[in-house]
Amino acid sequence: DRPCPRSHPRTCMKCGQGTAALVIRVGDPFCRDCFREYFVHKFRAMLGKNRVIFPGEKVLLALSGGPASSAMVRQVQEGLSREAAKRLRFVPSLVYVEEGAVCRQSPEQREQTLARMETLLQATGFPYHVIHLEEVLELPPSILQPGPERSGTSGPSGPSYKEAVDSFIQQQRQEGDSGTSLPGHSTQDTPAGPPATPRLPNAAQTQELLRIFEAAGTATAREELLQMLRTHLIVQTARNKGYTKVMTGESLTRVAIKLLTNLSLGRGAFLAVDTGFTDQRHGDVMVVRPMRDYTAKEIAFYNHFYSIPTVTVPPLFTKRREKPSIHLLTERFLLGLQEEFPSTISTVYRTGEKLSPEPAKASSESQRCLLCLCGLD
Amino acid sequence: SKISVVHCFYFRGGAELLFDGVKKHQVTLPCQPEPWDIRNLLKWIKQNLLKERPELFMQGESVRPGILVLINDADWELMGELDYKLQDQDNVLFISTLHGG
Repeated sequence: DRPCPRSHPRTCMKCGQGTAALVIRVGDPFCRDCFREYFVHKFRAMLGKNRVIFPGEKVLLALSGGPASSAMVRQVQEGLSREAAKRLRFVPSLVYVEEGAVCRQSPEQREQTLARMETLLQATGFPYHVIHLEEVLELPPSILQPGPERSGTSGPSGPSYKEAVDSFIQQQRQEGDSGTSLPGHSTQDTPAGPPATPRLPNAAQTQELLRIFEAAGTATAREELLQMLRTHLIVQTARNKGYTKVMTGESLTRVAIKLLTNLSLGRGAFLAVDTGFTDQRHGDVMVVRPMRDYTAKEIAFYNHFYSIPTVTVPPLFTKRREKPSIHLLTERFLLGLQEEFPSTISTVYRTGEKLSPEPAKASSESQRCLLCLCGLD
Repeated sequence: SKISVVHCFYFRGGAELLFDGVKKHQVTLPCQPEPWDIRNLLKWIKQNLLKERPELFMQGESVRPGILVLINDADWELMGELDYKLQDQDNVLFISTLHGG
């Protein structure tokens, strides 16, 4: 037997004892238990290091049904249930944007997807919102501008992160916190009991939405349109319901692909907001990307080992004989290169980490793009 | 003597869409003189199970970049990847991490 070309030692490099279950990064074998610890720790470290989510803050978790956002929700559940000193302290709700119309799903298929997602959402116990992509037709024009920055949450006028945590802990002690981990449900949000069967938008709305998407000239434009509209819907939901933070599940792999894709799209000036941990362009609602340090492989293995439920849907429609989108080509390029050069994706990601957003400037003076809310350049 | 082997293949993460939406396949591989390693298994899957668009699952003699392979719940990188020799009752799981656009 000749030696296997890519065969790694089968003992965990962390504990030196367990049988390795997977290889992470370049050649680091981990056993299942050490991997779980690594995975869970990374989430808390990410939030702890960045310190942007304040205790008691209402955070909207954007769930797509895909592996990364599903893993993210599980990490939030885990984090909220830990012993008092270290646990996460924010108040989560979930949002799911149903996009079946532009994935060419029939009404029956859309209902089926919705039912499966409904089960998933309910099982978390968090309040949740289901919205349809067709609802973009009802977005107010105010979505095209950043909302007013809220005072009192952070920055010079509000308490520092440490002060906020200390005062929260003290308040809990005074109120005789019994240690229940899950936050109460806000009465404004959909309670996590059995709700009415979700209704699909009417056919006219679906047609109008499809017309908009069909008008996009290329697969690339269509993809960008979808992402923009989805973001607007989520931000509007957050705004309506009083959430100050939105968490989205972009993985490291997705962030690296987005970085190169956006460079190709001419968005080099905005790589930091488009891919960074925080995205503050919307003003009153901050988008946070806590999964950006996890590779797609880590997420897939975690979900497999711990049976994280996901709901797979078909991708955005493409027209026959249409050239693939820049998004798809970049994904193929990076993943292909990664096979032979296993540090490719992490190198792209770490280079991206060196980018920081432009310092805040007088936003009333600078002109912004209506669609992406970034400064005109 | 030659032994036929039974394997369960699972497809997840969208990979099942290439196999008529069927996630779990329990198969008995025919006896043959060549060993049943992953390399030969993939050839067999391409010929016998893949219903459409083979290029979305395979690239050359291996799986397409972005598709993970787990052998009995372990990363195939630990087992020799294409050279791993299948044993009776082995489970092979393919998970796609691809998004498309």
